[in-house]
Amino acid sequence: MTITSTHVDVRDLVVRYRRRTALNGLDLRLGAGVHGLLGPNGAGKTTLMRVLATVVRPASGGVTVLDGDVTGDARLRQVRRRLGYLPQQFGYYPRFTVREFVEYFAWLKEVPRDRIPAAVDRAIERAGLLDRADERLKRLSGGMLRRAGIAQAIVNDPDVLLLDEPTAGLDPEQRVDFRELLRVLGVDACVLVSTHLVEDVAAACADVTLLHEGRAVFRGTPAELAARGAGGDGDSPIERGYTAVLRAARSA
Amino acid sequence: MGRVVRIDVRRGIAPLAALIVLGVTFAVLVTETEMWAGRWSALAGYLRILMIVLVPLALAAGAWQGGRERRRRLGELLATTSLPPWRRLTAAWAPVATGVVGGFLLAGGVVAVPVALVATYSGGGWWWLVVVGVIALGAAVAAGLAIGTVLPWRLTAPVLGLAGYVVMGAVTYARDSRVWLSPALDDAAEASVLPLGDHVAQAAWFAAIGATALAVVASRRRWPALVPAAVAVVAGAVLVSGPADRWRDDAAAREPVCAGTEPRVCAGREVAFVLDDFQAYAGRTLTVYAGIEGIPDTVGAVTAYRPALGDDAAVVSVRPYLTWRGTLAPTGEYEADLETDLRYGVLPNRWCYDGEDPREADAVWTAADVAVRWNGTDLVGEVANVMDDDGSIFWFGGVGADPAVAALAERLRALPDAARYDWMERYLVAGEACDPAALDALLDELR
Repeated sequence: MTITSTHVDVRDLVVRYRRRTALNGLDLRLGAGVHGLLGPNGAGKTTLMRVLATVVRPASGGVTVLDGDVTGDARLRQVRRRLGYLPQQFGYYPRFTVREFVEYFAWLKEVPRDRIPAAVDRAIERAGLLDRADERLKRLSGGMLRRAGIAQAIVNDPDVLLLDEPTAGLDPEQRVDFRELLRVLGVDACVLVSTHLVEDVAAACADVTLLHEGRAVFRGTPAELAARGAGGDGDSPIERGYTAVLRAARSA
Repeated sequence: MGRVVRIDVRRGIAPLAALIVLGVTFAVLVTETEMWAGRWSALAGYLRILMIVLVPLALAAGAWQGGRERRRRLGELLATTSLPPWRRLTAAWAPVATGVVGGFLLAGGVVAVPVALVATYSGGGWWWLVVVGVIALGAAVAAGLAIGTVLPWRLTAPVLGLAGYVVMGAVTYARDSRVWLSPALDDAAEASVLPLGDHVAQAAWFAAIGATALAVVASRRRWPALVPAAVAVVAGAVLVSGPADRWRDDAAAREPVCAGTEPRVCAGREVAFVLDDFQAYAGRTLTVYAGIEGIPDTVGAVTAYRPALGDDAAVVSVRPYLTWRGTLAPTGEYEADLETDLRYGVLPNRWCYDGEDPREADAVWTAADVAVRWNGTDLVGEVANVMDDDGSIFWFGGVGADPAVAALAERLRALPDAARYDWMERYLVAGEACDPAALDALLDELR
């Protein structure tokens, strides 16, 4: 683990898919801690995750992850070694066991060979899959697969962990455990969680960024988002804050 | 990387690829035992003939592996990892190559056991053929992997396998030096050697193709592929610039080894393992000609080439009768019969006539068919296989009992002994000369 004050620094980020602009002049600075990323479908959450994961190159703007400019090739490898990523659509090799799959990703992330066995065990344990470690992935339920995805994402003890819809498919008890894991991981690392489940954000995140049409329309703590709930719809204060901020952004 | 490769060997397509390659290789080898039994050079050459099927299978297996990331929706996740793509590709290539090559070597290894038990010659650098074949399989997996990565669809593998088979067929059966660009041989050259330079050029050609394929897809830049591509171009140019026929006789493998008397049987050193069996069959069968002056006293057991036994020696192809253990069976496929071959083999060539007069041809054939039954014993088989002067083996049907031939043979048998022997000795002279008029005159004596 490397001590870094600003883990993610995004400046005037623009990403386009052909004619559609997915991110439009986004600015964002993230340090250690658990950060929530909210927004309706098409707001640009997954695109931002993919840019930070070094999969998508921006049309313009600056993106620095762990002091490395990820819009170029020079420091990409060093950055990727310290990155963990769980994409929205998590693919896997069905005949691999959980342990084999996580070990494969430890190798891909260049975890030193002598540290791989311990790192794999630790990641599987933290993901709550130790009792299923030798089960083939094709035999796991959707929620367990998601946890296997989390295990591969954290096997290298990443300094920046990007989780796109990590709680999809998890039952309530698993979600509670997962939030606890996020809090532990967020002590040293920058954990960015993209989700539709605002209660996850309220429970686990130190701050939240709300995207709308490729821009950040809110940045603050979950409590501050909840406080903006006047005029919003929803069952909880944070849901009302979410809908109120979005409504205001749409009418602006 | 070793641990990751081992995982993929167990969990990926490698076991299936190994099983298919093992099954195909083994199935063909056990149905064509006579093509390799007892001879290392024949076995190695036959394994290379099989490349016409195995290389397309390797291409298809590689393509399936190459498309795996896309099929499993892992492309995005893998793109975020730090390991250089060439190492990831190498780790994807190695398990499939291990499976394909493992299946190939296992099948070859199994049939190598009975060969090792009887082989009488192990020189000639035959193992180069296997080594280059292994390199070709590895290169085919690499090429398939690259194509599967670029075209990651489920249909890519079967279509590529089929296309590979068609292209391989076109190159392998070309009648010029392009055949050396193919890993498959169009025919096994027994007791022959390929110059070391040709083995090396082929090895470089296949290895460079595989390396180029991997380099092209492993990097967004093109320059890493330039070096192996240049090696491939040079090696390919070397291969196509030489003559089409590069096999050289392996004099040590063809050196005659003889045993016994009445008849004395001989074989090239590489085929000498059949001598005991051949002696038994020849000794038993050829007593039918006992006492006839001019019958060869030396009979060579040959497979695919004519050994230097002298003009007076007869040769009989024993390849159709070779069993997997290197012994001789009395009958072979297509109703071949060793006794029939032996009886025709020591007489003048029944098929020597190359004119166009059907009456003359009939005289040559009929005289031979009467002579072979000269003492009244009929033949078992309906066909005979004979070796031409250039070492080619031909199968001929229609040597079964014909009423007209049987009648003439019966009249020959009814002659007094002195007249019978005299007729046969004159037949041997006329038959050796392939003189239709003289042979027709001999038949007239029986009509």
